[in-house]
Amino acid sequence: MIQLNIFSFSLIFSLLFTISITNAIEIPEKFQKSNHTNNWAVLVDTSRFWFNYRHVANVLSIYRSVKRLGIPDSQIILMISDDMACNPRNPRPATIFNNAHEQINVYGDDVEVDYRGYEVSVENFVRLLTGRVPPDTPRSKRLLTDEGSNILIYLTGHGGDGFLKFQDSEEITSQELADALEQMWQKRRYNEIFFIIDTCQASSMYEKFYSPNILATASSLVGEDSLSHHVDSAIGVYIIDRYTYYVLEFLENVHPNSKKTMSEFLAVCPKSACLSTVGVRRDLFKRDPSKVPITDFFGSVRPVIITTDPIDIQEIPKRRKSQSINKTKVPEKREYLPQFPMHLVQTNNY
Amino acid sequence: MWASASFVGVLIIIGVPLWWKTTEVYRVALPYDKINAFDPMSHFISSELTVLANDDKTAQDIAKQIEKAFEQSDVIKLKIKKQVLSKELQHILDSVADEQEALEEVAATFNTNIHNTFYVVQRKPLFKDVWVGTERVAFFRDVKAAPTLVEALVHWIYEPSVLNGARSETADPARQIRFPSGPGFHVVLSVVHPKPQLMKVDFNARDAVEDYIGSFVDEISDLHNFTLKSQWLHLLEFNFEAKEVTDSPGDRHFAVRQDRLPLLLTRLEERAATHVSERPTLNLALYVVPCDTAPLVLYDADNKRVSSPVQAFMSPKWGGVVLGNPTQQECQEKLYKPNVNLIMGTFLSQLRKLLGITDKRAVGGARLEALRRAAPRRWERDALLRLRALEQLASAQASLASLAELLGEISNIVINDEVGASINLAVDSIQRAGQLLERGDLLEAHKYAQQGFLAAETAFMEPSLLALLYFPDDQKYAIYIPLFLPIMFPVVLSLKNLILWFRGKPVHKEKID
Amino acid sequence: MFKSGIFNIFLTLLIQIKGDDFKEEIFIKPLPPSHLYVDFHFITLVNGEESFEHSYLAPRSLGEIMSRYQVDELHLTLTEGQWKHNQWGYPVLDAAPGAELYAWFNTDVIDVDIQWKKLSSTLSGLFCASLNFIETFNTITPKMSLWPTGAQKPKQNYTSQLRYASLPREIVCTENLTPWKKLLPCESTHGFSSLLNSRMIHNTNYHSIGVHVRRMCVDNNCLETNLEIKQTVALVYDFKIINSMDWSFRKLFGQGLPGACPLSSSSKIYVDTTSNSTYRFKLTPEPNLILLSQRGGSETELAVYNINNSIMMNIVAKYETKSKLFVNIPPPLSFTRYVLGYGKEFGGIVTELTNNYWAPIDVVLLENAPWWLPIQLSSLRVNGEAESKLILSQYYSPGRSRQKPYHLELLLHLPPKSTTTLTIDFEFVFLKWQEYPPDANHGFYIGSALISANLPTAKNYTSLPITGNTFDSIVNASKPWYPMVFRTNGAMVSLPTPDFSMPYNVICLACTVVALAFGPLNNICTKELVLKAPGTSISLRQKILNMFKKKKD
Repeated sequence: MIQLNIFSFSLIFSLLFTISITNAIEIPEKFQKSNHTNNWAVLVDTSRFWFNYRHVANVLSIYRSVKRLGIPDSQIILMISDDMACNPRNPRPATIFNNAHEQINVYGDDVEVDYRGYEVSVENFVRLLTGRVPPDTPRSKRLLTDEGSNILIYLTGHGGDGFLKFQDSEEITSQELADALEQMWQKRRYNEIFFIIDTCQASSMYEKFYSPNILATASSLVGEDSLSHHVDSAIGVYIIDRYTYYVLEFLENVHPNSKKTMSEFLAVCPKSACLSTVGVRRDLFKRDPSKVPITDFFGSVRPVIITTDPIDIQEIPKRRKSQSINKTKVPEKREYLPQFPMHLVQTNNY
Repeated sequence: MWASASFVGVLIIIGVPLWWKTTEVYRVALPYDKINAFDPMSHFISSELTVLANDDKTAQDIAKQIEKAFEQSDVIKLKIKKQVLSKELQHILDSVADEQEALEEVAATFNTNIHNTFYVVQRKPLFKDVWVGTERVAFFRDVKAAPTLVEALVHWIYEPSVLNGARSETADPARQIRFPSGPGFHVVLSVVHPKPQLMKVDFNARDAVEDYIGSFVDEISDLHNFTLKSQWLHLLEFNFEAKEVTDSPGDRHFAVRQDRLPLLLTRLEERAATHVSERPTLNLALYVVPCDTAPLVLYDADNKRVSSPVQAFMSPKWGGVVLGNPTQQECQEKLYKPNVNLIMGTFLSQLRKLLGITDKRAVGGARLEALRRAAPRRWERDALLRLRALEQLASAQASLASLAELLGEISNIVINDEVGASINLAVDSIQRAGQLLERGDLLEAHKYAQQGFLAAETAFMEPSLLALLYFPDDQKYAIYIPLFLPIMFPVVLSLKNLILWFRGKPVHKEKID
Repeated sequence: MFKSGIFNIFLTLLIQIKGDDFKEEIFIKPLPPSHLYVDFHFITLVNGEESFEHSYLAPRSLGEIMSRYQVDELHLTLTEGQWKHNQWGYPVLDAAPGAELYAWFNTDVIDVDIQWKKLSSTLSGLFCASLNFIETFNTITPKMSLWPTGAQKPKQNYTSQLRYASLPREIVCTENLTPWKKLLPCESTHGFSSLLNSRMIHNTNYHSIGVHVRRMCVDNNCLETNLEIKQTVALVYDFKIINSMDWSFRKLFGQGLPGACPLSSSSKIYVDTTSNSTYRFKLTPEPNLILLSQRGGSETELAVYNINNSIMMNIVAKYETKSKLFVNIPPPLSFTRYVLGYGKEFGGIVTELTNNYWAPIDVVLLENAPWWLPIQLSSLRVNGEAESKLILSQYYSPGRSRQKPYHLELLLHLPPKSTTTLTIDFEFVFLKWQEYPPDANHGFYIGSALISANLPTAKNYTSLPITGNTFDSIVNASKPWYPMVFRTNGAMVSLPTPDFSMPYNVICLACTVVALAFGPLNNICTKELVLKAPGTSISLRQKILNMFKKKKD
């Protein structure tokens, strides 16, 4: 009897001990290790016309946060369908605000838009994702990801059940989007994707995904509309959507060394604030979102290796000069040409 | 009757096949069976190794030990030849003082310039067990040096683990550092000068890049095509947030934490203007540290001071940065003349790693002669050729496999002649490259592997292969069915009567009004 | 002072070693009564014989583009707004609204069109503009209006190597200014380029950023050439927008000038004070020097500031009289262009050229109509006449649907003190459904016409002579002729636009019609009418049907 008591007591004690030990060890391993080597972002605004000012404000707010957290412009593809900043109807030229207090100009001073105006189309978007761009496309308009890239994809605009409207004239269906992402996976063009979409009935867009390593969130479920936040009476239109407004509030408190997790991000807009239910799809994502740091997708990791072994060059090399430099080229005399076809005037002069 | 027969004839017998033919998708026949038979992990390279020893028994022992070590790896198969050194050569090797001279003697007798060969030669007066230099020759002392020799061969010369990583699907650490395979690169040397009004820099970037980097890339021109460029980025400032640390009275340095360095790369990228080029760019940046924060010293992730003759770091798949610290005297004179040899030597060491030449870890008892010139070692070139050939072969096969799956799944994508030609070329090149690798003909194998890789990439990234551009089958039927079904209805119904009529039975159908 | 002296010596040493030279200038000219013209010029001179793979001050990306596509001369402008020639005089460099790109390729290049397409695609990535929409169907080769401004080898055919395209729908905003600023050696942190604050410079009536690259002779022999890379910003401010008649750098750019760029060999500000006699204003601080220039019969007075240090300064102009009556004296050549017609079948373009000068002026008019607006040459009327003596030479290249635009060039001799009206008709074309832009009801833009004029007088003329690259080259630069290429305003037409929701309706309608038509046809062909004697038995079905039929008796 007594032995049983001693035995059970020691059992409980060892159990408590191991629990405390594991708790002590758990903190450094709190974040599950990610093996990505670079970060990309694809930010798309699909609406045209002045009254859709808020969609441009949405996408530029995310652009600004992502740039602030470290992703360079060369790894961000920004697609904006219409010009709001220099639009003649904009009473504050070259600015876009996301708040009626007009404190932050999200358009900023160093924005680089890769696809703008009529270039933002379903075909160009799918070509960008799958890599099948026309041969003359410059590098800044290509998605040059590799197997170690974590990509943040953000779409905003007007949508419906199973489609997203581009520029009020064409749609991309959820099946096409899922197929495009699958082709990216086949070519190993991503490590993990975080997909955010802020439109009406947004969750229908991610329901057809079938490729691994995708974590998706949407501002509303099927059958619900995403609503805008408030009007700026000086500009005269709604200037930000609810979901993106609360996302921004959250991101403004994130700095490059932040310890916040993805699950905090996924819970950023409760139904009381957003008036629509935020949808999440996590079955394709291998890691647990509560253990994934938010900087895995919003920040930028660039591994740095310190060099400690320079080569000690004894003989200074001299490259064999290539034959194309022809030193015996005779300098030709050049002249300025007349700027007006006077020869035609004189011959035809009456 | 004849009328309904003619309706049936036109619509069903002529119309349906005509519609089927005209809505057929043009697809060139593809070698699906060959593509499905691809197995990247089955490729191997055979390489020749000659053992030259003083007597037969040593040669046998050494050869046997090497054979045993390499029989596990299926990625590289060694053809070991044994030979006994001639008496005079033995005598010369034993008497010559310097390894370099010994190398020359060996090179005089045996041809060490053939790709994919290696010579293991016995030489008694060695300081350590094994000595490896820049040529395709390794010296060993005697039989007892066999384990060290084997380790040197595995970790330095052949590196089967890295080769295995090259042909596998997942990226191993070596693959994460080096640039992916490609036909060419741009190498840009940027001199970053934050305060030109306070200091003058005497550095000829053009000559530095042409001479030093040029000599290096000329040696590996078989692998990639390089374009060398240089530029100066003035007034580009970056705040290192360096803390002043006083070592001794009058001597101080500024400490930079490692997590600050990626932000420097972001800042540099804004102005390096790399996106005008079509090929990937290797950035080498020399950052001239302004006098008020000089000298800058890097502290690694454990917050320990980095002790190295030069402060430099690199980032995989991007390039490298060297911090140029002017001395106190140069600050007073306002003229900074960087040590070109040291800086370019650092860049070369970074460039080597970024292009795939791995770091050689130390092997106890073996001496790897330090590299004292810009050009890479000859056996490093061979290793690169093997690595890139396998990588490109594996990548081409993966691309073709996924492309074949895609084209098989979506049956309405047009496969035009160019895509068919690219795929056929890729398949042929892959097969030839595989055969050549097994034979050991490295240069030709790499050429075909690169050709196959480029053809596979061209085929996969072909702009016309966008599923979006073509009508899916169900939409095709959705357009034609409402148009033709009402028409076909009476025609099909009259078929029954038609058949009866052909058989000769009188047909009478009455409609009474 | 001593430090800047040493620095200048170093800089000259530097230049002699490297061979690159950078200058920055601002030209300010008040345009009475209520506008102000500000023009920034950033000029980099590079040794033209060496390869562009190694650069010192010049932007490496532009040099790479020039050498890779074998471009001899390049002009790109992105503009918003119309320059009002009859009120404001002539700008230094005129630009068409939207994007305008033209380039001369090397005479060695055989297939110019392929290089042109690659050039426009690469520039679209570099400047974040949709220049990749430039294709062969909106590119022309002007024969008489545009000539290379750079030093070229004589006796070669340059016209075939020229390509010109304009995209009137392009907008220009901060996203184009950002990469443009990165091409400058001082970027936007030092020097004059730090004044280019996007919120202030886009709040103007007219803003245009441009990149012009050409070859210049080093000396009079012209055996060696330099490559001149000039980046320009032209702005027209409206005093009503900045809410005051007095202007200063703080009001125009939001900040004072933080000094010169350390890398520039000369940083000057020129203020045109010719109008000081009528609309007096006072400049603070005092200019370093006043230049008087006599050019082609007109006098100009320039106040020059030489900036060579890094002290913050703010130039302020205070006007003495606030409200005045303004009498506009039109410039020697003014023009206007508009679209005629109503309905969606026909229309016409009218270009009116007014010669206000007492001597005749020769001009070349280039009309560039897109392929969907076919212009009829037979309907060309000059002052109402089909055959006119005013046309000295004509070039017409008809367009082809979806392949080539319509290209008309006329060399005209404008008589003195007269207005010449040119009218040409066009018709509208039905586009295919996919060719309409997403906002088709906005309308379609017709680009501006180019008017290349050989002016006999330098009144209101501010352009630089061809041999000079900085503003001081206009001082006393009298020449017999003053050539200038003007751009008229663009126009907008509304093409017949379908209802884009029609496809579903069309399918339903077509299917119904076909079914309804085919049924009776089939019946008539395959069934014969047989008479039946009355009294035969009637089937049940027929009895029921008879109940619904009216009994005819």
